[in-house]
Amino acid sequence: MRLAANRFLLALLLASVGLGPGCRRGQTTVPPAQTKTSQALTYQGSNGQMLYEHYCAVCHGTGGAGDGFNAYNLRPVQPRNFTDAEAMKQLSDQDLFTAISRGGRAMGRSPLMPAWGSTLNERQVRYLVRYLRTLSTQPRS
Amino acid sequence: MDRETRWYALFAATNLLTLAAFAVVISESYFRQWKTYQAGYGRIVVEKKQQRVVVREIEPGIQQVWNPQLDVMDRCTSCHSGVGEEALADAPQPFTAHPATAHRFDEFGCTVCHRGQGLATTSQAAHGRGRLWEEPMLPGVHAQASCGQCHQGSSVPEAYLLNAGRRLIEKAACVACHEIPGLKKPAMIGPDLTGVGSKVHPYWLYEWLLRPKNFLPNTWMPNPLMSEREAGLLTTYLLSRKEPKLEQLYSAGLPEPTPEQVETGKRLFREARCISCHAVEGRGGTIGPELTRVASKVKPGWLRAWLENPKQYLPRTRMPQFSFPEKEIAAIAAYLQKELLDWSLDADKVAKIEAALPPASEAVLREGEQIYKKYGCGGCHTLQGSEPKGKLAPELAGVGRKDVDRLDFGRTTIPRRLWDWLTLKLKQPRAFGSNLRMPSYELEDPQARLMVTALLSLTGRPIPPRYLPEAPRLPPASIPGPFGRILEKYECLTCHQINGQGGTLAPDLSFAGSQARPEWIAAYFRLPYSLRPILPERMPLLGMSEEEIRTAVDYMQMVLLSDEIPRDIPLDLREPGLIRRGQDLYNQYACRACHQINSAGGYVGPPLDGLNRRLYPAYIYAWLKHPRRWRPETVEPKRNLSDEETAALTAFLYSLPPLKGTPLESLPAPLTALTRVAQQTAAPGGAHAARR
Repeated sequence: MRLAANRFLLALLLASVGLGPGCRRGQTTVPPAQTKTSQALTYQGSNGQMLYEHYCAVCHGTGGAGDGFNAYNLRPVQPRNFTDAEAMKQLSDQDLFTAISRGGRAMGRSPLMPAWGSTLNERQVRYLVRYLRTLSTQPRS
Repeated sequence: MDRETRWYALFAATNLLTLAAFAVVISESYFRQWKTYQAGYGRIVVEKKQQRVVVREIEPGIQQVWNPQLDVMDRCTSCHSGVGEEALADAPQPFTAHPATAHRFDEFGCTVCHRGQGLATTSQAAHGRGRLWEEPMLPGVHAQASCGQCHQGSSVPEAYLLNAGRRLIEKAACVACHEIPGLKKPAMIGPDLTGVGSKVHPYWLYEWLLRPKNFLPNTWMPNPLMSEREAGLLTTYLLSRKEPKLEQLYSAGLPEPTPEQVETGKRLFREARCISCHAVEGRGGTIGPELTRVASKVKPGWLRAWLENPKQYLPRTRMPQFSFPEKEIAAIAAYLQKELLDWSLDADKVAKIEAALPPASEAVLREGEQIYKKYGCGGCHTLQGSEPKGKLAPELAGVGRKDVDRLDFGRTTIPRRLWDWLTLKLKQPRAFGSNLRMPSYELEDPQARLMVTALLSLTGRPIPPRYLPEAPRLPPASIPGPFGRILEKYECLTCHQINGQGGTLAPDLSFAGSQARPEWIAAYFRLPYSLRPILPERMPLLGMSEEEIRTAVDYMQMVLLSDEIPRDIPLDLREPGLIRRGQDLYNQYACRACHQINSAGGYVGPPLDGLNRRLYPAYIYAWLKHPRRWRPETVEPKRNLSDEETAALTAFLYSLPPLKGTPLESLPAPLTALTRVAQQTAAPGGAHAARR
């Protein structure tokens, strides 16, 4: 009788000790990355979109295809088409940053692209670069 | 087991249970969630080190940002360890880097912008998504609402979504019924209805009340969502409100318009640039109502009287009083009456509608007035004798922080969150109950989302003085004297701005005297032409008298000046060397991407031929140095030009002759409006040094 009661109590004791670590809340694994392919733009993307539509769309087009209203007048080189995913893959983010802030001339390309570095601050150019990336991955009309 | 042993066993069991409870509580306090995340972060640091990317290590333990002035004690960085590390921009949450923003979060903390519970150390509690925390974390799409707590106005830097939302709220004129802190109710929102019975056709009014967007798809009048019976009663009531003095004039029979009149009217309509403010078939401005079907709305007599003097019917209108002679007014009215009709209207249908309207008896009129009051029409419209008493709708101060438990969700099953409630309220105002009376703006999803962002900024939280942004400038008093009367008559400030007062559709006139030549301004008043072909809006032909033109130009020359633009700059702009240098710079900077010279180039900005007929050289110089100082919304980039480059470009642009056959040719060529500065008075260095 005593032995059974002792064993029972021992089991209870061990169980209560075992409860401790087992009660760990929270995850032991890191949750998967938040995918950025959702339809709505992020904070940076929507800031970039506002800037793009004000400064860039008149030549590069509202969809980024290089068919803006003024593109007709830009000879011989037409504005870049941002929806061309292959071409955009060849350009790094740093390339885009340089092209926007220091102009086409700094990239050895057409001087018709102005240097925006004195008009837009660094943060705004980064927003634009983010937005330009979405033009080839999430096409919009 | 005998009795004693039983008691001993019970005692031992309760002791062990207490021990177990202690073990559970202590282990819970020891095995915290944030420790797991910090361990995960440590693994990322190692991983990045292997990729040769430097990521800062963190001190283990609770991290806290403490800002007593903002009442902030945020422990978010205990789990979100990587927020300051740019290299972790693509890391999974909670290690993702925060995008670069205007305010440093190690000074402001996190909850000022994101809300949530800063003191908590578990994600469930910190994000505040349970029922026990009143301010849950804002979803990303509404995060800019927090900017609006300190920053008032609708042009908060880098808060594009908030600005758009605030502008929508202004357009929708929510202040008509709801009191909104920071927004003043404008003097006139919807037109004065005091004489509306003399103005409109009965069937039009009935159809309009049923759904305004059927007639004007872009109108900002909300749909009052009334039944057909109510609409009929209200129509009869409003039609009984006539303008007795002008009734004669409006109902006077007019001669049938002749085809020549219609042709003349069409030409005048085009020349006076009415579409700058009134759209026709979707093309044109949005300041005034669309005119595509105006003749089906208003009586011809009223239209004629309106064109002659708008202020007679509506003293606070924004339409200028054009000084057309009577024959021309008749022609324009004829054109509008004959061409701008609703061609799909069936005469039988019209007759049926008008027959179905209730006759104007005492009871009907009384009921109509009740309906007018019930739907709060008096919020936007004035109607003498039926002004609203008391508040029409709850005030919106503090709505951004409203406790979810105080919101009535009716029978809907949307998530119980403040922004979900606000979004549904805006999209379907009567979703929460059948006795609600808010009209429906028929908003699209993005519009509703933006407006909810703006509403969420109305938290009413007091701002500590150190963090107050610049105090807003007081609006200037209105301009007295003859120039002030010209501004009132032609309603110039609808489109133009002077010293911070007015609209933003057209250039800021605050420095017009330092900017443009008086002869050009006078010629422009007499016959405006388009400066930038891609803009649809143009200045209308007002028909100002010569005396008015002289007054306006003189006022500009004497008062509307900027001290930053001297009238003369000490530079000889005719020097060929300087002009050649300017031309080289023009090509180097490829200005032709946006401007045309001699018809070659782009048409984003105005063509530059004959610039010297229009602008002063000192303005050109000031503009090239810093375009956005003079026109904040310009697309022209600032080039950081040196003084010498700016002077050369100014000289080149100033030398360009006007194109043959353009209005600029008839303006006088500038004389040497420049002074040569003698060598001894030259300032040392810089382009302002004298040239021989």
